[in-house]
Amino acid sequence: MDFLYKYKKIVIICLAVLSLMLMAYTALDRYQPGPVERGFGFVVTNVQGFFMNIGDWFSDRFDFLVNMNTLHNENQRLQEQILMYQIENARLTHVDEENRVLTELLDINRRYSDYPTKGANIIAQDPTNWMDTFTINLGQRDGLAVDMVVLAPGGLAGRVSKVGGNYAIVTSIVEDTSAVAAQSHRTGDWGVVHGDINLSSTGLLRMEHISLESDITIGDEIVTSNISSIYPPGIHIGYVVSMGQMPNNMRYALVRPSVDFSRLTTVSVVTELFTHEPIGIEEY
Amino acid sequence: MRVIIIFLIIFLNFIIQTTLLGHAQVMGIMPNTALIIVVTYAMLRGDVEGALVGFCAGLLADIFFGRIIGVSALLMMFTGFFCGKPFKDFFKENYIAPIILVGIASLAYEFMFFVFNFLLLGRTNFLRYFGQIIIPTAVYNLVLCVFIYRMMYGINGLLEKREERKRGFMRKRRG
Repeated sequence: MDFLYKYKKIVIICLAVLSLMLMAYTALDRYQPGPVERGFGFVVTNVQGFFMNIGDWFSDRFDFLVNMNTLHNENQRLQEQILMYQIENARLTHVDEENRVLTELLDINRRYSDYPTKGANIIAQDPTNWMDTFTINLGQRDGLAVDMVVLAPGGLAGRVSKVGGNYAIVTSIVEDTSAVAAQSHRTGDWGVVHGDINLSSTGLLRMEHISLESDITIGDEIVTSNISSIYPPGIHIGYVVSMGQMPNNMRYALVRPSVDFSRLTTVSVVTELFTHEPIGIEEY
Repeated sequence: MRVIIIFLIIFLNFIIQTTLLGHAQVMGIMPNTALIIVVTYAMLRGDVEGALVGFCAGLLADIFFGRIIGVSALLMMFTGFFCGKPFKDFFKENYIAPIILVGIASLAYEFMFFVFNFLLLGRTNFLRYFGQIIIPTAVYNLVLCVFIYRMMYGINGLLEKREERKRGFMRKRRG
């Protein structure tokens, strides 16, 4: 180790230059992992998957112990709910069939449930408090590509931002740099849904660039818009919980996402790309 | 030997940080254990080793989660370098120095992280980020710093004892 101390300055300068070069190289374009990184990723993600399972197992046991006395009541409540859903389901099957026939008549070729999806487990999350990205256990081998849409129980979760051989990094919609072109399902008024790190403790999203004339109100359902360059239209995001006005004569809305990001363990990836020419708002 | 052990520690820490530490969030804030390890190691071993270890720990996080690879590596490297500066001038059994240094390093590191990843993208309301993320993270780091310093101190002691023995052995053979 003596040579290290002998050439102290050179070592430090070399490391600094190396990291600056890496920064310049990876900042140029939307960088994707090379072979070395992928090989390394293969090892790391497998270990991470193992540890995540251990963590989830303990967390489940802990939840079980904490909730033991409420389980009976909850069970009864759920039984009743199932009965309700069964009745509802029978009705909906009928409506769905009717819808299918009518859709065929109208020649609409795309529906929400038609997207080919693949289930994935979350195996790691970003170690900093600044970003909201996570790793999933599917990669290029499973047909994933950058900008594929990621759904979770409840609605939109995010998009794939980096793909390795057997893993992929997902940027969630609550990430500070994420932007989704969205609209109110009821009125069709347009806006951009941003993550906001300052809202991270409340779990809310901020929808900006809503024009003053729009009549979005509290309780409106927000879905992805058809002008989005990444997301297909009509995917559920969440509900408006409050409205406000920005200094530049635009309104903003706070949106509660329907996906519970703090308890997410599985997601599904839509293995089909919807990307077309970017219109500029969803680039960070 | 020392190289293998320290890289094993960094690797294991990264795995734990990305998987198990999510369960230890307090109000959505996670501690940055990698930073604490780099700072304490630098304090025990000096600036150059601190810089090298910091570089590797930062690169590991960058490869998987960085938007731009090299930002954390650069920041962690300088953190390790500066925290290794006073390493000959304090009693290593004392806990006050590591606590102070981890506090300062956390604030500085998180601030620079903010500058590189957010300010340059046009997020200027620094005070809100400061209150919401930087301060809570630094506080959480301070709490964990005592335990991690204790652990690193023990590991470093064992390694140094081993190296001492080896050196003595070499000298005997030569002489």
